[in-house]
Amino acid sequence: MIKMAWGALRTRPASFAGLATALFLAVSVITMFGSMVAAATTTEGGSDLALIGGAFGEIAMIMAMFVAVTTLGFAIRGQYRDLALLRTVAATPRQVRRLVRFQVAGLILLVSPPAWAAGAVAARSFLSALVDRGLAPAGAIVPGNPLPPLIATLATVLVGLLAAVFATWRISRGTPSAAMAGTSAETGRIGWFRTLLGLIVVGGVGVLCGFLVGQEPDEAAQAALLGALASMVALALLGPLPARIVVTLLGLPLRLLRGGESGGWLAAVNTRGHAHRLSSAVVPIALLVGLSTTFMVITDTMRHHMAGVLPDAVSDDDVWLRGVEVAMLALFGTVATLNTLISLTTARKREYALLTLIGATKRQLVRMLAAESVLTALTGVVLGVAIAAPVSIAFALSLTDDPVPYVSMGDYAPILIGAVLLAVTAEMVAGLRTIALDPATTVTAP
Amino acid sequence: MSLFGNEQVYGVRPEGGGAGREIRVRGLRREFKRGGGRVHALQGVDVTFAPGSFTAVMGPSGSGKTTLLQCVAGMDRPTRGAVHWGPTEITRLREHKLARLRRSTVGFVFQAYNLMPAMTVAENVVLPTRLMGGRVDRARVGRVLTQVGLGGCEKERPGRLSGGQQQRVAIARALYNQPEILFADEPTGALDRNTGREILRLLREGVEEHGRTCVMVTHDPLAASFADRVLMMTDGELVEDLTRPSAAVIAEKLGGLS
Repeated sequence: MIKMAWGALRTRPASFAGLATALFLAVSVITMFGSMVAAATTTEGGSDLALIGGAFGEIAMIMAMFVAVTTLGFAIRGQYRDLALLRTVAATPRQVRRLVRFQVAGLILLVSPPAWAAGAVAARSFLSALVDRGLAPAGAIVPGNPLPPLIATLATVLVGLLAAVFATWRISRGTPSAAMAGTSAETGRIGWFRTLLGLIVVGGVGVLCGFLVGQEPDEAAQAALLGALASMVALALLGPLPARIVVTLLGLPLRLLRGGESGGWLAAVNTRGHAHRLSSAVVPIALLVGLSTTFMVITDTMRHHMAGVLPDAVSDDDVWLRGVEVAMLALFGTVATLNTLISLTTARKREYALLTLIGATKRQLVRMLAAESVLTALTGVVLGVAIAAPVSIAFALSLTDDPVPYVSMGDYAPILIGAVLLAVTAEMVAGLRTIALDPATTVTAP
Repeated sequence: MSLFGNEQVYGVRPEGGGAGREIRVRGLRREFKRGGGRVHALQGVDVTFAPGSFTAVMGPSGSGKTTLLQCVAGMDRPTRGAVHWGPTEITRLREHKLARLRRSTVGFVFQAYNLMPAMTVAENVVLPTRLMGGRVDRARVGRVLTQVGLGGCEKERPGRLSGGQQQRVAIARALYNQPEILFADEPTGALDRNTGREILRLLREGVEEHGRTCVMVTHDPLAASFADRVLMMTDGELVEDLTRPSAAVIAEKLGGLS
């Protein structure tokens, strides 16, 4: 069974490389902030340090886990067909679940040592930057404590195994023939449990928004970030529905381009028809955009509002901290986006091959790919902004009576453009490589 | 080349040839939810497959023949009714128990081969054994592959083989554990006539030499003529039960159904 688990890892390096990266980030981030907390407890007057590390770390850790969990679900869904095949040759449901557990735990243990090292290095440089800015007492050091790395790996394994339970739910329950049928037809429908969970999270975001209106700026900022993360979770849970609505609207102009080579029409129909796949592609882009937007809004609105109230030095430090956090979240978002788009596009090689065999020209495929990637990227951006909107408005209301948050376009536009460029490039590069494969052998491959 | 005829290849079956389990199917119904409505794939099927018999199940597409095979083979669960393998009512077993019983008793050959692309031919053949936690006998893998005409292909990947060769790997996988019962869903559906005939000969010899029970779904009258008994279905019901019919008779009856 262990050999089989590694066999699957070996033959799908692309899908598992992404997962390994996400798990690596999760372990390193927890190690990093665990080390910060350890540094705070051993440093005199380290309570401020604990505060900064805690506030900063909690968002980063939740984000790291979110990315790890979505990537994991993705990697497991990528081998649904293989797992269903195992069921048809009489693997028990338990064996299928165990195979996946081996993969998850094994991969986490594999990436742990380098992740510990990376986390320790990051903690040291972050701490010295804090000391340089006078945000931490001089002489504060990260102690050589084995607890943070251990906790990091344990926590990631626990979360990973829990995520694996959900990801293998469909494939390891029911009959082999149902498992097999489930791999060929992704309906895009989501179960009642997931819908309910999603609605509960949406309700939670609403409550949080109401709560943060009456808060002090610092608490309101933290609550807004948490709210943005919770909205992301809700999008990930309810994904196909909002994704489908947005893509249908955005795809209208493409559908009108029926004449000529009809690559746009093909793309619009294709993208809307695969709501499930689309929502997987859109979530990381929305994550990237939604969290960056929330950050921008908080930072800019606060600075705008506080101008003249706080000494410049204090607000500069604050901005610096937020900048580091945005960079970190952007890193997670980028990893998730690249991983998801590349594996989704590569997984469609059979579909591209079929289109070629029934007479689509390479040019049509490239056009379709281009239209699809733009459509996917824009849908992600729209959903990301939509996710950031409620918490941003609530945050603006907590500072002023004006519900319109202040955003500096000079800072904000590069993020939106960057997200679109990243998504389009990833999908195009992966897609062009996939199109270049020989269609006849791709279609007949087992 | 003698296929399956050689006792040294498979050893002596513990129960002795022909003493396998009878398969009893009673009141089998299977409904699917499709769109808003319900599809009645099986509308009350009663049939018994004698140990050591070779049965072909035929019918137009949508007649329920594959659903019947999947329910009888324990790959799918009927909405109502019971399937017995000998004394065991498999429709009452929980999924993991059924999976265990299936891999020790039953082999299944699919039209789409269902091989693991990432594994070598030999790894595919021993996969069910691996899943049982059983010991892998390399010599036996070699012998089974030789028997299906794939000697020396152990290290190949399925993707490099032709359709007929892939189906032989699937048959080798199904036969490696010397199952009492072999189910085959359109095993020759994706193959040319000659290759198909060799596959059918393999199934036939397993029945004759080892008393294996074989149930095969097919739409090809020539393939069905390899069987002792031919069942015909329409609209989820059995409508014909023929004993050793010729391909011509099968084609004529089949023509009358659609």
